[in-house]
Amino acid sequence: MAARNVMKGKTGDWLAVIGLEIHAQIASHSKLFSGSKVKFMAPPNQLVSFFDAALPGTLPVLNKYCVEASILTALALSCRINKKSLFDRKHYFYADMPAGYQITQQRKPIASNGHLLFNVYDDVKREKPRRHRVNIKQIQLEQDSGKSLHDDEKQQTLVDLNRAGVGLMELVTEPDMSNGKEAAAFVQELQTILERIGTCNGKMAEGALRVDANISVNKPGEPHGVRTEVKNINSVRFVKNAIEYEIRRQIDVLESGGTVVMETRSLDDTGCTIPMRDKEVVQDYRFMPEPNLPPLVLYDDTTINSTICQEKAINVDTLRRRMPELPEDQRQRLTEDYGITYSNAVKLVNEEGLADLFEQLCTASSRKETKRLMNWCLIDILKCLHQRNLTVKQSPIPVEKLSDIFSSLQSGEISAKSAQKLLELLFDGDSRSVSEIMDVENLRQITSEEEVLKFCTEAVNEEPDLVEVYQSRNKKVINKLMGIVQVKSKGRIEPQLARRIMEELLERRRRR
Amino acid sequence: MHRSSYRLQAYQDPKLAKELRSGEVSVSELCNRCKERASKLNSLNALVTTTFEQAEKHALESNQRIQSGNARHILDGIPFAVKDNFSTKGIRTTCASKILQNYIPAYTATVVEKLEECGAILMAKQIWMNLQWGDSGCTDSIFGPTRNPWLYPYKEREVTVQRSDTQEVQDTDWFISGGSSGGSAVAVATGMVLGALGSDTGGSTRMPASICGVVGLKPTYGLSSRHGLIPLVNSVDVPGVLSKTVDDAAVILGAMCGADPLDSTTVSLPDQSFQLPDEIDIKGLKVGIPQEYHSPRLEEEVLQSWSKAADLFENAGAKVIPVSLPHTQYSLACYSVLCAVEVASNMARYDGIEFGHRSQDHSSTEALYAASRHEGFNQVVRGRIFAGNFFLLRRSVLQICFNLMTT
Repeated sequence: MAARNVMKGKTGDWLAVIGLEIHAQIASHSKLFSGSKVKFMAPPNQLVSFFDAALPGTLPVLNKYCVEASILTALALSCRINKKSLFDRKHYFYADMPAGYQITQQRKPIASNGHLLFNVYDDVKREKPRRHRVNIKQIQLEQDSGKSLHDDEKQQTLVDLNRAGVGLMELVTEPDMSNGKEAAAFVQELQTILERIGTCNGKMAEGALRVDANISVNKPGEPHGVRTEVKNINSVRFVKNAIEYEIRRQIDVLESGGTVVMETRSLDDTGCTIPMRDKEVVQDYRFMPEPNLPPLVLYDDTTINSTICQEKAINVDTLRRRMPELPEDQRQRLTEDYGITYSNAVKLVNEEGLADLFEQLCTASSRKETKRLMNWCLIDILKCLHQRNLTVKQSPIPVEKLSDIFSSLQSGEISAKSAQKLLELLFDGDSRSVSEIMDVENLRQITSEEEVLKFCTEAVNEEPDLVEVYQSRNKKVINKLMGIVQVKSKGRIEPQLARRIMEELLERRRRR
Repeated sequence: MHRSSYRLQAYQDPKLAKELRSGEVSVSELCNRCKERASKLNSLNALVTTTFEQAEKHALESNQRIQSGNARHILDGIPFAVKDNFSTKGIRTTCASKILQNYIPAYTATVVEKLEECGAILMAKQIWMNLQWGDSGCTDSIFGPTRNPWLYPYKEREVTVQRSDTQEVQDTDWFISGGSSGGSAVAVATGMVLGALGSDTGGSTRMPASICGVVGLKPTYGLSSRHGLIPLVNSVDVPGVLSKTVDDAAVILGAMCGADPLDSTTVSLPDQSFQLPDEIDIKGLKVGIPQEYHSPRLEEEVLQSWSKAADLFENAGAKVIPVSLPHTQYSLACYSVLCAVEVASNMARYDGIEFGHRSQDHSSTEALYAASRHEGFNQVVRGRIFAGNFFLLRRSVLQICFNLMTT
């Protein structure tokens, strides 16, 4: 175990210790303590309630949906749900923090003591998946801040409060990771889980999921070193790169006789970590209980009946029953049920909704075709979606139509190329039935040998030179003729059939 | 010392509601009388902002309702005022402070809204102390002090209202009104309005009421909404009631109480009416006299009133018994620390960015904050903020207490 995590330095081996703090924006229609809408990229300051702007006299009102989302997340991460949690104020002055404090859960968070088991592996290096466990210290509910935009030219700061007060789940892990790859795998698995249970859209580029990494290095057998914090890492790839860069930087500093300073660093455009100047001073956040919010009390099946107001009360067991199948469970099941490899199961599961689609299509087709169906999902369907920037859920094609296409493909009624064309048409909004499109667009495979011969004859007649080359010197030019046939038939002839007929034709001609 | 006393003309008269209903007195007429009274007694400096124009319009509407027999509530047509720390949509809300001197809120406090929904007519917003500090009596408002109407030398001299931020106050020959809801107490005592809302954290409604001779009520925390009440100490603040009679206070409390979805600390009571019975029977009621309250420095006069009240209860059939509240000796210290702490926190939002006073120093965000806050807060408030932030530091004993509260 140790050997894998050891990093070589000039003076010998080093170990790294990494813990993560992750802010996940709750996928809720309204903010954590106000009724303002939550939307990415809305015009500045359009989604701001009086409370969000901290107008005097406004009070926080807890959003039930946000509480439920954080409980669902906590359950997915095997956390202990605290039946009573508390809210606190964390003070600091910042232009995009209008109240001068953030409401968070410092003393008693909604959940604690969880863990996540996930696989670490490198698909490119074809590594064998390795199970790794990271313990989750706690999950707390808190408000997001607004955004400050600095205009250096005009020397002014503009404030956009659209994001101010959006609900966040802050997840704090124990320092259970030892390299960038593990941390990246953790983040990716977390992202997949959040998407699956629908509590956060996981889009790191939009800031819906933000990672801060605490990193330190030490020599084997020695206590942990001084840690630095790299803030606001906004992609899975950067998680790996930033951590690896920072580990290397700390090793270099220590090996050249320097000391690592406890500081906050950010990631620059070139992938290096640099000290953040405005975070140099150690902040004292002057925490205090939030007096405007009573303790958040949660119930379960055994306690719910005692509450006066069941409408407002949240039952943890009800949420537990609502929990969908988690990604890792689904991956394991897919490998067992359909005999596909783990790495393909990962691909299916990690694309939100794709595994479900695969399973739906599977029930409609025969077991033998599973592998082809899987590839069709992973390659053809995914290509169409990605080209159009769509998720599986946003796909405009009903499963029944996809199923029709696949059965036609499987029975040889249409070619792979035609199947692709069908997909393209349907993705672009064609509302006709699959068979109607096949008829009208002439997509059905040409199976009659007579018709195939017609196309072959045409090709041969048009290209006497190629025929000449084929017969005298090089049989490989048959491929050029085949290409012409496919163009003429619009790819509707099964290649093997076309080739057999073409060969027969050319043989007959030679004899002539 | 010779003072000519001013005889307060109480508008609060048992016949008033009846006269309003019968049309003998129109709402507009009543409002006009209040308005005249307010103008005449301008020198007491009880009101910050008057809303006479809007009140006139509302009075006409109320009159119509009453005449057509559609009065909404017993409070329909009754002129009232609120302390200037209740948010009122479109009406300047200053907290008698420079930091909010020109602040015009975009929403109305729940309790004010509730009174208005009953048809009560908002006439004015009243002076209080600069961000509600102290109980000596509305003396450090940026609009100058509020004077007690009793024994005020009305006729002897022309008193011009002077602003403490521009000029020293020269006339000192008057009594304080008590604070911090002194403006509200004075307005009710003089009949500028028939009822008023104050706020009470550590006596801010009850003390001026006592000093000005009106009824002052601090309702139980959670009974009425704090939404729109600009906070001092969230965990102790409540909207208070000032009125001429106990019955009026009960009516006003009944109109403004109740759970508010916008204030999570309010509770709903099963159909609670605060109407008082004509005959109150307190036989069998147990009244406790906390022994610790009999402190060595208690004024003889206070002790006498206290004993008198106890006797009244006893004579009426209540059982008066001594009780012990052993933590009393710590209460003031706890209150002072928690007050400072919450004030420091609540004042953090006054940074000149979203609303309120903004300084001219734009050299950096930090400089803008520092200058806006320095200019906007007076010495007393600044002191509290410093103290509160000190108590909240990581190394403070208070943090240990907060953490103990979680178990």
